Amino acid sequence: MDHEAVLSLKGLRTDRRDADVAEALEAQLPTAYRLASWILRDPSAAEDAVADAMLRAWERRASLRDPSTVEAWFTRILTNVCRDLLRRKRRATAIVWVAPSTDLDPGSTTSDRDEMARALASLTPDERILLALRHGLDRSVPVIAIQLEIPEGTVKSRLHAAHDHLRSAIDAGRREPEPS
Amino acid sequence: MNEPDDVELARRLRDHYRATATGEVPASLRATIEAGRLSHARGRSWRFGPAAAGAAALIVVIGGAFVVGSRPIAPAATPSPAVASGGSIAPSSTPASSVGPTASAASGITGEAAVLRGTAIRDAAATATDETQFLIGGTISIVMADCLVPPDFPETPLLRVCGDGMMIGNGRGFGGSPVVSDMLPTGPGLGFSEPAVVIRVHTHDERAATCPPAYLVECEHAIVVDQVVWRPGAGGSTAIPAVLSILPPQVDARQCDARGFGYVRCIAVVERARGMIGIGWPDVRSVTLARPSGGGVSLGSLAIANVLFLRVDGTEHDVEVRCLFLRWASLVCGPSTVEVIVPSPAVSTPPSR
Repeated sequence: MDHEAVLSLKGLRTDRRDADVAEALEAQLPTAYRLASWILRDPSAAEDAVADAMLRAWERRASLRDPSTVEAWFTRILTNVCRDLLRRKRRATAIVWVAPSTDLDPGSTTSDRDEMARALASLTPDERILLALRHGLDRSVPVIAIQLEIPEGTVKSRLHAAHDHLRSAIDAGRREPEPS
Repeated sequence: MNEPDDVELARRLRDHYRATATGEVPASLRATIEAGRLSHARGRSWRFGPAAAGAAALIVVIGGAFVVGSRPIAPAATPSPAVASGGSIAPSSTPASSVGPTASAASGITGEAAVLRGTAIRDAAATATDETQFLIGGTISIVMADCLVPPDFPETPLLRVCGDGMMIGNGRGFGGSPVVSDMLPTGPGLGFSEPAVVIRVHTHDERAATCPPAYLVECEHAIVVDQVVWRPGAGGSTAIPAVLSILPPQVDARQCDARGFGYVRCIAVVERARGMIGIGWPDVRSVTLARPSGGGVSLGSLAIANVLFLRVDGTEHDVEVRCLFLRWASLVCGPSTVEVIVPSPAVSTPPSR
């Protein structure tokens, strides 16, 4: 086979792989958007975060050795972007956002959601990310450990701490008087 | 204890996620990602969906694709946005008098100006000697093609390579059509619904000075877009007008540039913020842009800015806006990036004489 033919074949393989990665990334989009919306509590910020993560992923696609692992790989990128965003957010700035009003679960009242939203807002970015993966996406501890590239034991201890902090925040919120 | 010892807490978290982490992926997000990939593609056509890696030239028409020009626009000769103290800016609604495209280089176009089409665009760009603005009209397309670019082609903010430009077509295909500088997606996403556009452009952008000497002339004559001034439906017309009357920008470029935003970025930021809180321009008394401390608008791939709206009724809204930088000159600022900021009904109304 001549040199040009070899180059052409390599190009085709690259195109095929890029197409696979593109397809796999596209499949992540709905889950990624919901995850980022929940972590960031801001649909606009979620849009930016997912777009940023998608572009980062695409730029680094060569580092993805196995396209079947794209979910863990992309989740790691997305959560890193969300973490950076949350850390940069200035508390003094008013963020105009109203949580989407949905009633998918009739048993969950608005006051329940408000209470939970206030409590979640007091958590650290890492805690929010952990809770989103564990309870939002229903990922197991071993899977979260892979996605976040931290030991399973660390995932467990951080989850435990996040639950404690959340419970404390809920309790604290209940003790505060209602605004008149 | 490793797993939640409170089943009730776990249930509430799950319910909260299901109730609040909802919503379809916005079309604007898909368009943003697509445009970003196009910018990074460098000769490889990459799109969502099965039409992924193609080699042949592919033209995608975007329903509202815009570009970034960082050229500051000097105050117009006619009623310009009132600049208040502290860097705030007040939208103007006063029609401007006629200032044509041959006005001094220091003047942005306001008033009545001819809309160049087809080969006249290339002629105007080729013969321009300074950064005087002019209007061009046509159908906007992103062009993705095989990279038939010399390996040593420089990475410059002005010269376009494959998969990285917008063409202004003449309705009869894109052969020989001029390519303008970087592109940005806006609107509801990709589509063929609004291919026509009139944009205000200039050549001899100050960034040409950064181009390698061998490409200096090409850089100087590169067409850089300042603002979209007409889209179908504006002023009741669907056909690209031959002559257009436009108002002064509602966002004062000097204020934006003084803070490092650049004119188009400034518009993008303000429009994004305005869209976030749903304020119409008639309700806006002034807009103040500010950069957060410790870095301001350029933080890696994100731009962050604070926008303070003062309503006519005296209420204020402070919005933090995050925009995505794709590359040096590109900025994607959510669904309303670089929308037409001149009120549509007045865009093509002849000025009062």
